[in-house]
Amino acid sequence: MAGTPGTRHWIAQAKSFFERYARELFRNKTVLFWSIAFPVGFYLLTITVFVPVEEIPANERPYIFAATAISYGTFGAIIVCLSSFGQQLAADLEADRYKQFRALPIAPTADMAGRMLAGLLLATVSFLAVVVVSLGTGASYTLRSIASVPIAMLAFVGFAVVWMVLAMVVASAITDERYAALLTVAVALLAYMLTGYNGTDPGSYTGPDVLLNYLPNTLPSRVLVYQFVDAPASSLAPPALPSTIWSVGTLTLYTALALGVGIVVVRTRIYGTGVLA
Amino acid sequence: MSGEHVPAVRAAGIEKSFGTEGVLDGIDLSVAGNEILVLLGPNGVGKTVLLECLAGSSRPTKGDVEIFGRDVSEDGGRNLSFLLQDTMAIETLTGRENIDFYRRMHPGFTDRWEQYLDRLDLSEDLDKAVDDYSAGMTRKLELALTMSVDAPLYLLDEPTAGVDLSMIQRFHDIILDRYDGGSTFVITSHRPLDAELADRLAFMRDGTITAVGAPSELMDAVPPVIRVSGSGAMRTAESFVRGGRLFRTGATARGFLKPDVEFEELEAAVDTDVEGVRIERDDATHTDLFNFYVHVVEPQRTSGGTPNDDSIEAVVEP
Repeated sequence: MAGTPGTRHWIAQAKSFFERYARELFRNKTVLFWSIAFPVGFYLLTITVFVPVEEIPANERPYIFAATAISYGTFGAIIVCLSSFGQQLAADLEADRYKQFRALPIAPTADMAGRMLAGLLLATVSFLAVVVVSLGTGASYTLRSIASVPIAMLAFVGFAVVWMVLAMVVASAITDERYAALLTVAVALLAYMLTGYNGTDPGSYTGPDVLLNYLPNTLPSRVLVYQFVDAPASSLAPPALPSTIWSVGTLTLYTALALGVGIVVVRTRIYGTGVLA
Repeated sequence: MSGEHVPAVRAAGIEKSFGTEGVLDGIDLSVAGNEILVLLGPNGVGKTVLLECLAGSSRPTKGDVEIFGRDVSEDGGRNLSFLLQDTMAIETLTGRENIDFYRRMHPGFTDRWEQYLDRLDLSEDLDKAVDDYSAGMTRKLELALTMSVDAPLYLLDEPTAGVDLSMIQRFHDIILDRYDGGSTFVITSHRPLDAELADRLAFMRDGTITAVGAPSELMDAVPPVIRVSGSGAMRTAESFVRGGRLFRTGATARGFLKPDVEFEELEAAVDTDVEGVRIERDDATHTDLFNFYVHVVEPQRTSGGTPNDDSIEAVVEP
């Protein structure tokens, strides 16, 4: 394997942490229920009970269902990144696991990278589960351009990273698994409901319109809908979706800022080392 | 400074508080290279917290810890292997997955875990979740994980807690293997049996070290031990023993004669003609050693010297 011994050691540790956290997340039936079954069930409930399907013109149903699925898919991702990820960290802190880890030559960023990759994997599964189920209900997805794939990946990763870093801040401040779970679920639900289902339904949002293009949960969701759903641009307005360059730039900035905060938290609050350690 | 004079562990003035609650109260301790120091004391006296400070996983409120002459935070865990009881083994993973996880956490991790787990009869259970392990099985896995790291210093927190008596010798043998390889050990325990491992013993009570010394020296300093049977005789004997305290073991109780009391005086004070009443001298055991230095010797700040110190540093109540 190429790289310095330090780099190889870092990669081996990140891989080890990823495997451990992924095993724990995917083996936990409660986590799987809330991360996958709950958003899928909520989506099905919405399109069969809450949405007056018969009043929607047949040609609009595919994109309305698709937008609804992306909305619930991102909600599932929030549950994973904020609640499941945060509880896992809080459980480790509550069990004093980091007292053991601090006595090992572990790179805190390797821990963070492995933990985040595991969270990102489950968040992706959660999101895709809703999307796949939605296909069976008549939802239709269309790539806006070849660039849609990398743009969507950036939007999803940035979205997930922001929520996972928020979970790290909450868990490191509370360190009690139960309180962390309550708080993170409450934040996830409030953020989703108060921002027009992550900005995918501006009509139900009562705050300043412009914020929907700035908030770190609404912008990525709106970008995902725009890139994958062949809906009239007016369905996401007001406000009008910003340009691709502006969206990508803002999402990149959010991701970088969140990662910076995450590195500071994992080094100082969780491993008790210096910021630059 | 020449390497041979640098202690493996040097702790100076260690204090640790959680809020207003003080757990460690000014502990000084020095452990020489290739020495086994066993830190004995009942639960809750601060042994684990002290070990966490020595390992660098917990920062003392006051004081300094050096590992081989370097501040422990600079060492970053490279020169030590730390077993923190009930925390190391990850219960949501299987035994094998735990090994897979920890082998990449320390560059000094070796394949010795295979022979250790064979010796500890755990190889057949490696594919079970640690959550389904008994306390003893978890200790076996933790010991194998810790001792598989090639390190000059091992810090073991209660490695034999919950382990069957029949298995303890195998734990000790594994520890002695690494000791023979030149490594240094600091081991906490509340089992007097672990004293058999020690080059030196340190006894802890209420966040302080009450006595440090070679086991034979500490044993020599234990006052004459008496063994008493019969409740009336026990009540009488309480005024003849140190601290007025007897330690019951089943139908008998043991205690330590006061310095100004002869055994014959006690014998004369007890009516031994009553059925079931017996009073006799006995040799001090490791349990007596534990009881004397943990429960009878008054806690007072003492310093833990090196094994070259001739004196036993203990404060015995008047």
